[in-house]
Amino acid sequence: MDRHRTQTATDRLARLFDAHHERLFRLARRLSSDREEARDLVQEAFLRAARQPAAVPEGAQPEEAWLVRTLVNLCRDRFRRLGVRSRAAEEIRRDEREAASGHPEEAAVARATVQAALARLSPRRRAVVVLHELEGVAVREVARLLGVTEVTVRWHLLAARRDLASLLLKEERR
Amino acid sequence: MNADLNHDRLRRILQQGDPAAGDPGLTAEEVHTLRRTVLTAIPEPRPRRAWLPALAAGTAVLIVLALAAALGPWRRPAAPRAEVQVAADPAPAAPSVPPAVSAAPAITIPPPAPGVPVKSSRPALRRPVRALRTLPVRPNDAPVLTASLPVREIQFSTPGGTRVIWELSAKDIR
Repeated sequence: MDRHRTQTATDRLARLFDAHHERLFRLARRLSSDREEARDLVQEAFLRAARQPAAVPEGAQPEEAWLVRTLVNLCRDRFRRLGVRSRAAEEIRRDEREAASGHPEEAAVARATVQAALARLSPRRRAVVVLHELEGVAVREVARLLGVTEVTVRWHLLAARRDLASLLLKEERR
Repeated sequence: MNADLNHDRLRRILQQGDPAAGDPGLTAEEVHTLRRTVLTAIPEPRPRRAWLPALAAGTAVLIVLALAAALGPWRRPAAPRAEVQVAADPAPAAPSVPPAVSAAPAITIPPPAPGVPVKSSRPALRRPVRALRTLPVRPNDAPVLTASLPVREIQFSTPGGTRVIWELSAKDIR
């Protein structure tokens, strides 16, 4: 009986991992500063699912939303731990290192600039921007994934665009 | 300032600097490692103990029985009941005054004269009769005193109008 239950949980988790790990890593990569951090975030999200199988809702869409929310919450935990200022400063230093290193590729510079600007946003706002602007997810779907209302998503988008525009213009004028 | 960077241009900048754009994603080896880590993190189910609820119920029943045996009414020794005489209303025609501690002669109240009005003995107008104070009995004198003590009577009436008469004899003194 117990063995059967364990096997069922393992099968479910394996299916969950196979179905969502790519999409989750892509999102984590956009929400985090580097690849290793993104991989850690994905691992931690699936580990939470492994430790609390009952917390993961049934169905493809609900379980995807649960994983996305868990990932964003993990980002928020890290964000709080590190502190927004130290994090943004690190991103800017990296950006400057790349720019001063000789002949950086234009794409790399753009990436570093965008990453530095995104790093200044709060995790939830960053998730809204990434999901909507980079992944092309509709506002309603973003709201469902993050478990917030559409009004909240639109408000985050508005504020994020304003902040990003300000930050990117500042970078351009340097 | 932000008017220079409209929504479309901001989106284009964000997409050009997409942090996940140049990332190939997780390698097969990384996926394998991650999958194994996640699947081995499923906690082992605890062995079910079917006898545990029965044991808890049995223990509870035993505790209740022990408490009942220790504190139940059938364990108490029957307390000696004091003989109490309660005078019914109306009060007796000639209330007797308890005798003093010493061997004073009993006071008898003469019956009222024919022309004198008799006070009403309604409960509302009655006052409780004070009990006579008795001297403390010293242990050494107790046998002698108790042997010579007459039967004494204490009367009082409750606010409801019930008259209570206590008869105290030598056998009540301990």
